[in-house]
Amino acid sequence: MEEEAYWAAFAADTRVTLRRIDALEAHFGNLADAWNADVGDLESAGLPREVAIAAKRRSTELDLTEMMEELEHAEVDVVHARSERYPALLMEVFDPPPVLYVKGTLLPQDGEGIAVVGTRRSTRYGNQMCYDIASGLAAAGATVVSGLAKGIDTVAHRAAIDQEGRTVAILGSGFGHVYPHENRGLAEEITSHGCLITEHPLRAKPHANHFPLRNRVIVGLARGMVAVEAPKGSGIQRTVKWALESNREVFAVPGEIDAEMSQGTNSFIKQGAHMATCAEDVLSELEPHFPDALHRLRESGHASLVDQESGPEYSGRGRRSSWQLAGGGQRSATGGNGRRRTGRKSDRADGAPPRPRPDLDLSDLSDHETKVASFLSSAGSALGVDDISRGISLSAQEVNTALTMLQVRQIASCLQGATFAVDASIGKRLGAAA
Amino acid sequence: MTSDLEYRIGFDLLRRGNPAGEGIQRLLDAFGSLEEAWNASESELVIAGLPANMATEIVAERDAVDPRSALNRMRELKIDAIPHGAPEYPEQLAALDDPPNILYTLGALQPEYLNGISIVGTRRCSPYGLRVAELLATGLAENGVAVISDLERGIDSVAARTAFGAGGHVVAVMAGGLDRFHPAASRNLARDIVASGRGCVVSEQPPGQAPIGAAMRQRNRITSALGRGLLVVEAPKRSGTMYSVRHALDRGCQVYAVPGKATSKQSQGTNWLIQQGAKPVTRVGDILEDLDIAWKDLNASDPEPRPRDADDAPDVSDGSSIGDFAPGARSQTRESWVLQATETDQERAIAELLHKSGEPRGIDEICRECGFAVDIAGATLSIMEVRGLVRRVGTRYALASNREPAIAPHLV
Repeated sequence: MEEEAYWAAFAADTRVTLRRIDALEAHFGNLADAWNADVGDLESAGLPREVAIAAKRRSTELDLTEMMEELEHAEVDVVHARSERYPALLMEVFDPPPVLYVKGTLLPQDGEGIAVVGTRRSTRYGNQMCYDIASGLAAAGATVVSGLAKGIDTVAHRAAIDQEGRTVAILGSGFGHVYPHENRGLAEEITSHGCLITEHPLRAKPHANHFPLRNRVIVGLARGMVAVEAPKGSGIQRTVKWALESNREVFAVPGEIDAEMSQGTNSFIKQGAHMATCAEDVLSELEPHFPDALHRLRESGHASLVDQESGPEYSGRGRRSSWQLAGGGQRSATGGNGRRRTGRKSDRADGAPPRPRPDLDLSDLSDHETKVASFLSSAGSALGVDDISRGISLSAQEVNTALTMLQVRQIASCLQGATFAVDASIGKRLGAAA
Repeated sequence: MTSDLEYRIGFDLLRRGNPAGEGIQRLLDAFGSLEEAWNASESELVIAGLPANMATEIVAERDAVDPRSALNRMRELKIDAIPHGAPEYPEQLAALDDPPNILYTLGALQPEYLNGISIVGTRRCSPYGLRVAELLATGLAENGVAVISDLERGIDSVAARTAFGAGGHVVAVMAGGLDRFHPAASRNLARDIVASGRGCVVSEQPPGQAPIGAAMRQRNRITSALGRGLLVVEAPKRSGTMYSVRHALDRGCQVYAVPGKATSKQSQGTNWLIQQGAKPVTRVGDILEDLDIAWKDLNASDPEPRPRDADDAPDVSDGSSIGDFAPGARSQTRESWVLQATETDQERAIAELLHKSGEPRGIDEICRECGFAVDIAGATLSIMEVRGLVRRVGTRYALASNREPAIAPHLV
């Protein structure tokens, strides 16, 4: 039996931490012997009694060959903490996961990416900024690390995929229960642009406790972390703390001081986080770790949302003269009104698109978003990406991007079988506006 | 002294030959009085140390100027003049490289006004900028901190108007002479400030002087110098507001800036200032705490933070970790399970304490009873919290009592 199997078998109980596995190895010489040991021996190797009993029970009931076959069938790799493929940076967080389950390809650079995180209840402004920054990072060759959650996470992954860049999603559940449901399609795409990673066994369900802990893995795989939008007192606050404790550079996107979803990010800036208004801000701070990135970003022709004109030049006679800021930019700002939203319904499986809220703002949809929304709205039934792509002659990638934005804004919804629907009233309103 | 003031005003009235600041001092040193200097010949002025072209200008211009009637007109209008060097001349102005020769005031410049905050921003502000200017100006006024403003369109006048409306003190700085308020839209506000006795209008220009462009830029240095701090509410990267910022930095004064959307042109300057080291401000307390001023939030509209982790918990949660707290009512097996799951001595000590007490404990109690430093206890608790071993009850901690074992279901 391969070593991975024993690692996975022991680590299936989250109480068996890396420290305890090391103790087992030291005591027994190898994990195979530990796996066959008695409860008493496990206890003397440092496992608390209950943990030892649970481990013994697993070792009698679990067929490791079957477990490994199942993982292989699901195309899941097992990377344990002493393997060469295990990202070295991840060791710097507290309680590093003993085992990573990986789907897709985990390249060495993916273990030194840049995390982009934020609230699930993101606003239009947050989505814009997230897309802008994440696509810039991806274009510059950095791996975008996030958590596959709704809102900011979704936009970050989507941006990296659109740039044909690399992205890694850390899950809070086993691969048998990819959560949230509507991001299964996105998860599938991520496996061909990077990988999905989880510390939970195949059949572990999403659990409230897993999600905050998942964030330490996000931090662990990143040199720096960008918080795009976060309300006051959210779990992101703690993630920021961990990032600082693990010597990561922390960035936050500024927002209006009376916007609920910028309370957290503005307070991070007050506490000393770097302010990020564009990918350049992040990459120039992280230049020692990504020496070529700024150059690649410029070469890629990625145009930032934010005006890159330089600040006032001050060569002055004054005592301080550190006032020049280099910057040669092009595109002017496209203002957006950050509409706040409250909560979001989870996906519906009954085949009916969500009834749009009457105050839904449709004025700032992009051309592609308008096309996709009108098409779906008039289609009368839910359609897959291919059908939409054919129907309005946009590429599948363009349709995907538009759908992500429409979903994030609660205009479109993802139904069963990776099909999408938009309420008929949206089409009427778009038609009336046009 | 009166006559000295008269001739000081005379020099101030000269358009091109005005020997501001250092020049006046040289004249005083050389002639003993400004009256003598006023009547001196061109060569005497040069010998006194003025540049030759300035001496020429003075002689050419001075006959067309009537300081006496200017002084009389000031008396009529109740405009006071505080000459450089007078005891009531603000120290902050004296410290400038080019201090005003005379500070003209309408309404008394009380010493406490000089502990105020200068509020500046773009004329073409956004609705957000207006909202924030109102919010912060009100907060300053309610805490008895004066607002210093140019009364220009946009942020400046809104801040001054709001602070004044909230019963605060306002110092309005004009670019032209005080016989005619500028801009016209703020004229009534300036009059009200003077009439109320809750502030004053000041300028470095003598009456009759028009607010021309150069004077406006010069005025920015007075506005920024009179405050203990400079608050930039909204400004594009290239804007006149940056002159004020430059002046504030030149004299080592704290610059505060309000963050805004990165996509909003009007917030790009303020965001940029924060990146360069300006202090970010999201509430009036940020400024007042920085200046060591005790403050209160009279609006107190600050909502309670949302429950922690609302952002992290999945929608489909079975609620297993979010149950109600019931002190000591949980089964022994569950709690001993938590004790089993502790990893370090600190975790174990905390878990045992919480287990024994059966009710939530504050972090200070935990420190005292376990003998930990606050940072150790805090770090341990936060790790225990995310591992589901303890849970927060308000500001205190309790043992998690209903967590399901985190073992993959199919492996048990």
